[in-house]
Amino acid sequence: MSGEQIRNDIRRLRFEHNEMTQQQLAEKIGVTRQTVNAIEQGKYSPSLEAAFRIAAVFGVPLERVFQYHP
Amino acid sequence: MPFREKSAWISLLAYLGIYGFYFAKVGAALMRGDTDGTPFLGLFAQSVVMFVLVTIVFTVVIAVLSPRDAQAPTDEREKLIALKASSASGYVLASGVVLTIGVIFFGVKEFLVINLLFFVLVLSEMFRIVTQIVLYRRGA
Repeated sequence: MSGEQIRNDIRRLRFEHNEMTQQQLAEKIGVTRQTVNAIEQGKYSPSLEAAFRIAAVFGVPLERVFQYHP
Repeated sequence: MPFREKSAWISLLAYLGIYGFYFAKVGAALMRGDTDGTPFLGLFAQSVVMFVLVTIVFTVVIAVLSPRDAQAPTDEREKLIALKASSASGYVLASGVVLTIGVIFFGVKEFLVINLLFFVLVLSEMFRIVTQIVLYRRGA
């Protein structure tokens, strides 16, 4: 599931949203803090549903959160 | 360390300690050439009961220490980790059962066959837990 081809800007987006913690983001999207950490580090690619939830939390389109680099 | 990883460590240590003791006793009996399983029925039952009690008590203790973590539903990454670990342990279980069936054809005693099957079951469960812990550590 993990792949370096998919990068994300979650850390920067958290910082821009009042320095939201991983725990706060995790609670908003219904996963554990460890899962947010794994997503942020590119170790785990979330489901499409979780990806859309993350984008919705930050109020940005999906491609602002995740970028695919083939 | 997240609750589910702690819980996995508890199970792993319980498997190692309790069933390690059981198989050490069985192994020693087999080395002596003792193949009568009757005296081991009590030890087997005690080991199973002890394992259940130890895992329940320690899991309750860590749940009380971190209730929010313990009550959180399993998320998608944890479900994926559980599936990967179960799949990997399935290969260990199937291989062990096939090997044990092979051993039966050499005319070994029931006591050894039963304990080999039980050992394979314990080994596959330990493999499942170790796989889970490794995947938790790696991220997924």
